[in-house]
Amino acid sequence: MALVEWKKDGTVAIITMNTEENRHNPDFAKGMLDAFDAIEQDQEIKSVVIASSSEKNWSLGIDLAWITGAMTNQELDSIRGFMYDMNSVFRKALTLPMPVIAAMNGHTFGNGSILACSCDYRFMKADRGYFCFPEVDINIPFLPSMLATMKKSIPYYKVEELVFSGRRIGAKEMEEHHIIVKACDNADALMEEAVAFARTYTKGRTIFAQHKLRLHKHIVEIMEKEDPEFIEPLNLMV
Amino acid sequence: MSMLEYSLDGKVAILTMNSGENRFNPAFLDEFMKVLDEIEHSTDANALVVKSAHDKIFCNGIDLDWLMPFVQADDRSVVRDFCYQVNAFLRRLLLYPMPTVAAITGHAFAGGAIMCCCFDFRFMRSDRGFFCFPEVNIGIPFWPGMVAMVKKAIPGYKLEEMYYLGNRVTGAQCQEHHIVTEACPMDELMDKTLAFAGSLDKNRTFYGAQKERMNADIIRIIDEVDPAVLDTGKISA
Repeated sequence: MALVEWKKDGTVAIITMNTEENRHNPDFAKGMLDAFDAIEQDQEIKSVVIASSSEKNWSLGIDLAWITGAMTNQELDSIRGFMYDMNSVFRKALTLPMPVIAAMNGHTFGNGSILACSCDYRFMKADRGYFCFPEVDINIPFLPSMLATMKKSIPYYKVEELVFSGRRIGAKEMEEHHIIVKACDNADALMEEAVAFARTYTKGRTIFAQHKLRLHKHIVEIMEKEDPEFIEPLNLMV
Repeated sequence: MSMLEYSLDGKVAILTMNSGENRFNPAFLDEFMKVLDEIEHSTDANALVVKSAHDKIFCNGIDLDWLMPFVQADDRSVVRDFCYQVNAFLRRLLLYPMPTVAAITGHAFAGGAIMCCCFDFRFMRSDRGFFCFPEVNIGIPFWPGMVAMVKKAIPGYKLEEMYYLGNRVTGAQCQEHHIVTEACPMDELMDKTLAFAGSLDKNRTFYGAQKERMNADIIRIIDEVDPAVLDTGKISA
């Protein structure tokens, strides 16, 4: 089974992240980018839902086993390449000419939470699972573009709380603070409602592309201008 | 008794402003910067709480009694230097390398309210005291950096109201609109604030780096945009 798969359901493309924890490593980034590219080429598709096949996790963020190994082996170019590739994944979600909807069916942590924030809309199941930025407790500061992405998707007072406390929050609290469109009762309701919401979008790609490019212009600029200053020297931890 | 004092409660530094209305003038700000340095360099504190000793005022902002004679005398170099001093102080708060929590023990007006916005978190008493930007009524426009500071702490819809009306907002309203984490009666305020500050327990190096990046846009405006305004040595519209 591929790490990342996608299928078509009418005008909606459903990307499924296909491992237990959906950790981000070079293969994950490539899988996501390939899926986005194929979806963009299919002119019938008008919206995208990103789901996970795991019962417990949507995405737990960076594959620490992989990155620690790469650090130990001094495979610095492959770490740099991975960081840029993940930025490309985020950028793709931010600029794809159609709405991208995260259907969070479980824990969403760290880089996984950034991926969710790169989407245009978020749904989450309410019966279990947390959303969290644990970086403050593991001493990995966010890249500048990541902060800009979070600020787009989370009201500022709540960004400060989540970034500076590392606290885990559930779907109900996320709904209350407008981080997600809806906290759905369970995993089945989540997919049903996220896909139904996606299906309501049949906007023209040209206008949607421009809308997203202009709304997220500052994030893309920060990604291009400011992130390399941390990625190039691999200044990722403090 | 000095204008500012601090004590440690476990790893939480509690800084008490003890200068009446705690208005900003060169001596007060100079002392404040020294105490911030001392807490950073001479203690192992990993959170900072700031409160006021005054029974109804947290901080009323710029000391106009001190400043206005220089404004009236058009002594622009004094005014300019003071403006830079205010900015250096607010900049220091924005980048202070540990969680900062304002325990708003009473009125926070004008510069005092702006200062509150430079903290990472705010708690406020609910039984008395207002949060207010009276600048619109006294004809003193915010500097660009200050606008960025208040945007950080106050949702846009509420900021426009407060900024353009100069209306006074209670602790309970501040909580409702997410300007403070929590508003509670004065007799619970310090317990709650200290419990919250003590619960964070973050690594200073990381926290400082995170604040630099989180507040980078505000710092850029202070450093690059404000000087054109401040160098005029005029603070009134």
